[in-house]
Amino acid sequence: MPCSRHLIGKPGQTFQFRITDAQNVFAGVGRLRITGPTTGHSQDFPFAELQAGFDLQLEAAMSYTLRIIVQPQDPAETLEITAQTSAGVDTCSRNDAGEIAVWTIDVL
Amino acid sequence: MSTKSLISGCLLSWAVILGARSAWAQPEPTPQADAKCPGGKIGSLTSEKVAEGAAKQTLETATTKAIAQKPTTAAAPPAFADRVNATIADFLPLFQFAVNEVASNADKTSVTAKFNPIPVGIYGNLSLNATATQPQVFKALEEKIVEPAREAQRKTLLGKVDDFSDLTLALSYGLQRRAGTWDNTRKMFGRNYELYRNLASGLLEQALQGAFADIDQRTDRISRARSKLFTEFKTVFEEAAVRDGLAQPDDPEKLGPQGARLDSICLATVESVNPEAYKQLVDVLRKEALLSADVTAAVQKAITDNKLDALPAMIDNQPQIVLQGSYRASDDVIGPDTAAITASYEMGTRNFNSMLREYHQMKREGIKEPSYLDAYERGVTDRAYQYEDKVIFSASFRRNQSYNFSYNYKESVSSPGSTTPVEIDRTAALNLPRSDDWRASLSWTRLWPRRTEKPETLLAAGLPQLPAMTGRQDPRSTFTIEWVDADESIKLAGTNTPLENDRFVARLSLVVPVQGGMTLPLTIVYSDKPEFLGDQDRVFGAHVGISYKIGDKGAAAGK
Repeated sequence: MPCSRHLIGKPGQTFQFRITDAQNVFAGVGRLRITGPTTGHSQDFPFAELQAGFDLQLEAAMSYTLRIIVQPQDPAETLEITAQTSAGVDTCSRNDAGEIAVWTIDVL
Repeated sequence: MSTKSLISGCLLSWAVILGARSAWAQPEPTPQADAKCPGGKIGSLTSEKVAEGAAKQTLETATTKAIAQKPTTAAAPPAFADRVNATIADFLPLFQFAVNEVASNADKTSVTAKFNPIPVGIYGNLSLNATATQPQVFKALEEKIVEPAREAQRKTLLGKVDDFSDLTLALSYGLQRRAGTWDNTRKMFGRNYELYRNLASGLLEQALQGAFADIDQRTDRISRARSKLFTEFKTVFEEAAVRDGLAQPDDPEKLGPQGARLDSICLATVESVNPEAYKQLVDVLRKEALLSADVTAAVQKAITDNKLDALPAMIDNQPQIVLQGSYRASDDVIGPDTAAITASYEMGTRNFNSMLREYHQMKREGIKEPSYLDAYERGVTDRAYQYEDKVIFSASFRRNQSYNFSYNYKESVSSPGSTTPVEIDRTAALNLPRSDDWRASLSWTRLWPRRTEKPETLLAAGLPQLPAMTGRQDPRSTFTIEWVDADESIKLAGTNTPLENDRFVARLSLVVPVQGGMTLPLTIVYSDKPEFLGDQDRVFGAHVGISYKIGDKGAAAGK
């Protein structure tokens, strides 16, 4: 099942994301969307970069939405990825194009 | 044969060597305890939940249809592959670290164990496969048995061998190299998606650029609403975490480190603590779930609009150079041991390389930063990829070891002077010297795609996918020319006729799959030496037939 998770962080705190085990993926792109009252911009990362892992440092008065979007190689096969954040491990799977995981982080 | 034990030893060593390479731990997924929260948790309201009602209905309809289509047949006897799989199942866990995959062929007459590949620098992998094939009596030996006794003796001979009496070990290498960027990659070999990951990611990234305009604004709005909610009602969620037993009352971080416990809070608890917070929370969660479903729909639309669904075919059509060495160790009943070396080259007419060519052509035309999607669009415009045209050339050298086998049996004949059959002692002996032959073949296959159904609506696209129940497959035509340079020094006993002769064979076949795993094959064969064609008995012949496969998984999955 796709993952959907809410997290809460403090300003200045760093969240680490490590994404592994992207088997049978046909093509994928991870999309890191940063939103908030002060800025509103988004940034895309190629899937390969996401797999290498990245750190997200939280800024005050911002909300973060991290979406991982994929297209599996073969619709008959289920794509499974494991994402390890500093808040825990999530295993997410999907067998058609779309979101495989959404993490939302609120800075309080 | 002693070679069999040698092969078993090699496999064991290979397995041990590979074991160290592939062992790595998988993190365990976090367990979910839903029994405590019949009304669901904060983290459980996803797009799947929103779509659950509709999905359930679709699933029920599809299942009913599948059951109605299922043919009722008597249970088939266990096939060779099932038997072998059952035999090795007990031992497989011991070699799980080295064996990548165990697969059977379509008609379950062979089982292949694929071992973990060994990387050869940046230029691909060496792979080792071991195949156990269903034993068949050596045809030349069978013909040495007098015709009336042949069928009975064939069964007796097969009773002397076991399921592992015909083993083939193959070591193969396919040339490949990982792609760099669109700018520094020109020609690629191999069909492993991993090689093309960077290039395909670039394509998808561009395709999704425009797909999120509306989504971004909605994400903004929902993010603000969510932030406001959690700031305003933080104490409510903390109180709910305590009531659900997730935190102690004196816990400084009641929602857990980084709010990790938030998703585990029961929605009903939030409602009991503060109905207004619950109302706003459910509203935000529903909007997020619906947005998630819309993101999936937007991604699917971007993929379809940019024809990216053709990408698998484009990679599948990539050129491939494969070298393979194999050794077949078989029992005397099955035939001589054989060693072979094969080189093959295959490619589809429209492939990923054609897009790379277009990309570099656009740069030569003076376009400063060509779009990958434009290059892709140019590459797939003529739709030739749909036919999946494939040309395969292969050349091989085979050495058959010398073969000396003698078999004593009895033939029962009825005698006019006796009521009981008389048994006559007979001997089937076959001696063949070592022989070499060369083979070359060129084949061209084309898939004739049937018209596809209308694309799914956005609502259906957001639902979990179900396997296709109709098993639709496309007709495929194949034209093959084969040339064999056989060793003509081996004569049939007592004659001057060679056992095998040089020959040229051309085949044109069309296989039309019909509903439910039935196929309608049409084949035209030409040979300059018809006597070596086996079942064929004319220089020019045609064959029309219907074949029906029971339990065709591939057809059921609609692949």
